[in-house]
Amino acid sequence: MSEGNLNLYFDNAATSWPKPEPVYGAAEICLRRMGGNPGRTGSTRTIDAERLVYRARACLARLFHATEPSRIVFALNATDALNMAIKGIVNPGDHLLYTAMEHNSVLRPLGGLSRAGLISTTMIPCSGDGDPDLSFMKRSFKPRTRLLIVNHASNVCGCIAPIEEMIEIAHRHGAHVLIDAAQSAGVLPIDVQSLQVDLLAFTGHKGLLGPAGTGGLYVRPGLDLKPWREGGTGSYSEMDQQPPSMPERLEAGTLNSPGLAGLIEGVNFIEKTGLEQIRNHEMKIYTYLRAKLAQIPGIKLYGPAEPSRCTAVLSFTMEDIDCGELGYILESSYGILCRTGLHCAPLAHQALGTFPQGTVRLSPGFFTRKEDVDYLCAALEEILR
Amino acid sequence: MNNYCYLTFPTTYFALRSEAVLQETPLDFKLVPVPRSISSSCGTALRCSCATWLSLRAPSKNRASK
Repeated sequence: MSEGNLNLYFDNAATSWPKPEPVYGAAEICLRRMGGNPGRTGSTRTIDAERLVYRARACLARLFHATEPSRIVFALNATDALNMAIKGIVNPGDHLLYTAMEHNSVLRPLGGLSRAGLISTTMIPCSGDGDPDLSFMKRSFKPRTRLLIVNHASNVCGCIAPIEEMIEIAHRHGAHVLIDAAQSAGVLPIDVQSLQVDLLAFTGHKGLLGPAGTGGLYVRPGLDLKPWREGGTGSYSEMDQQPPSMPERLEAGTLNSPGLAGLIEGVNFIEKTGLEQIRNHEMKIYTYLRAKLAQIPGIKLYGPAEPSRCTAVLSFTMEDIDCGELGYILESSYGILCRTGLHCAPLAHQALGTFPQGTVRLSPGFFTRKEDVDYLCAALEEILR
Repeated sequence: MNNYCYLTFPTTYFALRSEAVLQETPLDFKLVPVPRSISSSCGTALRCSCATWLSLRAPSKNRASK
């Protein structure tokens, strides 16, 4: 089979590729021409770098409908932001709730805090389609329940959590809510004000179409986190602690200016193209892919079939073929790129019934076309023969 | 010799936020390194003419705000 002009990259849930063209140029211009360390004043170059950082905050605040750019704190990625949120909000003796669809970037910080005897946790079980058991959740709140953590969209099967309802329930019980938007930022509409989100962790290099090494945490006005990362901020230099005001309170060290320059262009692309148009295209491709895979004997699909209940992330297994081996054959013989295994979400695989064998995960993106799906499915049929 | 007014800020964020707001106005100003002798905590200051400072201090219905 010939590759032609095909985009054989089906791993956008890991990192989106390709990026919109302006993303590359923006990062390069920053690297080649800007210099300057934002916040470390001394020259017009550093002030230009500060402006770039401010523009990045402002455009993300606009995308998430936040009232104030100062509530957007930059992090290395969603994992970094999740750690910042969890470790910034909990106190010894607190109880935390999380769902079975959470990523290791939630499970490992919780595990560490739990093993240190600092917190207790309760997992909210999820169905075979990834839906959280809300009745169980309602029964699980305790007087010391401080935080509910919810994966907005699963990185294994794409299922979308009912975060509006879950936030309302958590708030009724006096708990804060941390939304892991690693797979939903730039994919699903998120209005932090109307949803009354307390904390939202996002990454820049997936749905937001920016470079790796970018991401951040939205912190609701009025909510104060303990700084998790401490160091230089370019302000209050006489103090031996983090500044009192946001966002610098939670940021320390040099920010990734070239990454943020690219991220601005990723978000600009989303705003110009329209989030709805991007989602419509991705779900059209997802629906086509799912329907074609369902016709191939020996393939089992996981996650909700209804497109309104999921993002464009699809897991499957193939009879009698190890998922890792299948992923290797897809790339080495056909040039198709995907991800196999447990996807850093072991509990999600337990909920789906695919632990410990894992799945092959396909995650088309905005630049995936119908003919790419045709090629992939033809490859799978050939492998099965 | 020219006299200027400097507005200092607690952090860089406030300096850039102020710039974003004032860029919507016809006022003339510039972000510059803050003279150390008047530094509050952030190294970036907003410099403007004294007339502009007086204009900033006066309440104005026409001043744009975000």
